[in-house]
Amino acid sequence: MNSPLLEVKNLKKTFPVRTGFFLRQTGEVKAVDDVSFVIHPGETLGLVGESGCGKSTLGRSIIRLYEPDSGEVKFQGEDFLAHAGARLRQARRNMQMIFQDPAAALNPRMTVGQILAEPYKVHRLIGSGERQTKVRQLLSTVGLQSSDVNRYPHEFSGGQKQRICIARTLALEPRLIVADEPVSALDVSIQAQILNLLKDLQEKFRLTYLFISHDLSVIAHVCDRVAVMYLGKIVELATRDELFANPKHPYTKALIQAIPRIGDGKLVIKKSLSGEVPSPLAPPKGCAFHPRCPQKMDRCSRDIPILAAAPGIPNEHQCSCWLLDKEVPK
Amino acid sequence: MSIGTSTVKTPTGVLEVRNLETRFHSKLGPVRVVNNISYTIHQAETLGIVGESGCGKSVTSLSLMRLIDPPGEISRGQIFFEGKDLLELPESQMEGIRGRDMAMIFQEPMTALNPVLTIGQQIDEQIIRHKKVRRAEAKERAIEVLNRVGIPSPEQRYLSYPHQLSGGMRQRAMIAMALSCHPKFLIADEPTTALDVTIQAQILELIQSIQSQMKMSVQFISHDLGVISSVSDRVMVMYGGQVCEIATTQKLFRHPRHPYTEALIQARPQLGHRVARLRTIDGVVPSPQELPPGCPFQNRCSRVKQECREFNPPLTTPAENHLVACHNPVAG
Repeated sequence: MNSPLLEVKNLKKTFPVRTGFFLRQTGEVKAVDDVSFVIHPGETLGLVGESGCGKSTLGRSIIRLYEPDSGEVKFQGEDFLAHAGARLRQARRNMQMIFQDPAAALNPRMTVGQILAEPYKVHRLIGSGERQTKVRQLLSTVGLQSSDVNRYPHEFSGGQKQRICIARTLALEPRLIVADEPVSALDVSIQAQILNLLKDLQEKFRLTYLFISHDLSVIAHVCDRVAVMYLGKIVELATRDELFANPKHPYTKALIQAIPRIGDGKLVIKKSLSGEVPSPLAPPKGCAFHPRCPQKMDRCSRDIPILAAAPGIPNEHQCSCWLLDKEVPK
Repeated sequence: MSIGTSTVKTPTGVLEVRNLETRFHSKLGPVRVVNNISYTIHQAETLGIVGESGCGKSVTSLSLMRLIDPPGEISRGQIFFEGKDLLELPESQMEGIRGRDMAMIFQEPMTALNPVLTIGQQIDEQIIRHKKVRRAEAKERAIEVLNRVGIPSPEQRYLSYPHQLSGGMRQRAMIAMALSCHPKFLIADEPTTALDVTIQAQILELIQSIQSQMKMSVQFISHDLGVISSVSDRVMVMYGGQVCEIATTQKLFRHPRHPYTEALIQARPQLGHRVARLRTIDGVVPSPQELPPGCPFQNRCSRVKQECREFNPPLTTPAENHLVACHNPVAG
């Protein structure tokens, strides 16, 4: 087994909540709460969960768009959180990010050529003459015309804008790409184009993806392994086939059940869960999911379950739920 | 048989749209956003309308409610609601129908609700206007309807402002408002698109159970094929302001005849149906100004023929309860 590309250990990120006239800190939101996982080279790890579960914060904390409060992020065995200054900038060449809304991620006053040359400028890599050649190469890699260099972002459709963003992430030949809801803002027919493009690029450049999405159908299509998040914690992590065939956590089960499928006509819809995601300002005691859980036990409102490989489950399937303890008699 | 030139006199169903055309005037001349569409919705039936952004699904709904403001106008067609042509009615009568007999739920409850009025005030306003009751009775009814859509402690929520509710609760409040006068026809325009999947399932269940209790007809708009498939009795697919295909849900998803419908279904990743690559539709959704003469889908279609570039295909009936507008349909 090859060593992991990215290792995240006990990562935490909290945001202060300030209220009142003097903006005194009156609480905190644990957006990412003690999260650990690894990503191997060339694989796609999916991160799925409902809005506010902390999946974007996790993605941003890993590449230090937010500074994590504590924990470890190791990239190719090196401690990424320890880097500063020039070392940090150099290390960052290896990790790039694709955002949900391509229109907001592109500077409207720069041409596509300027946008794509920017990474080379920032990292002082190549001269201006060679940049132009590189920029044209990048455009053709993502399926745009080299004549597009002098056009502005607003002249492109949503799907094409996302292609420009993808081209920009590729400029520095990164190893890891954090894709935060890259197709959520796009039409169905355009989603398919972008998902296929991301797959092709992964094969061509041996890229590793952390793929964040709320859409389980998309996650099931692109990911090798999947982590399910709920209120700042990973509640289940498994290979794709294992997770969808054999979900263990009641939340994962409910999520899978709630996906509307293209089927055999009108169904009698059954809600899979009652209630809503609780406010992260006041997370429930014990297991955060227990107020909505159809299988909750006494213990769930007291003790916080930890993410662990439950006995009897194939390797690489981790789940944090007290129900698993019941499966094996002690 | 061509529906477009239907000569049937008496309208059928709760709602019948005939040859509806809605235009917007721009500097470059009028733009047809809804182009000659006809369909029927029967009592207690749900018609799903699916299509990508810019295909005209929302403008169709707004046209039914006569909520098209200048520079837009409904330039042609008839909209029969319970036998009356809504386009012939004076605005004062239309105001009596809107909100009472026909109601609408929008995608983003935060922008559809008034932020400076409480939920209760907004529901009361509608009940008092249409049912001519006293304020105290309106309040009673409002709380009852809030309770019915599953809002916990409705007496307190009656006094809440929209920003004090979560997204799912706001959508419930908007549904409560739409249902407060017991409409016969409900238009739901992407009602769950802004919500998480588990909340989406709750809202879909709610709309469905209320529909069956009240025998309400529903026009349900979504870009999500999964949602459309689970809520609709029949489905209409739109592209470029026109109807591509109408069929019962099962037929449409199992045996799509229009190349666009087929491609749309295959472009969507589906759980339990794994493919290595998704089917793509080349190009982008054209804007209404740049639609080519002939079939609107021709430039992205894999089955395009010379005919498609010259004539816009009329809706034809290849099988019972199945309408397709295509010169070269997929084999059924």
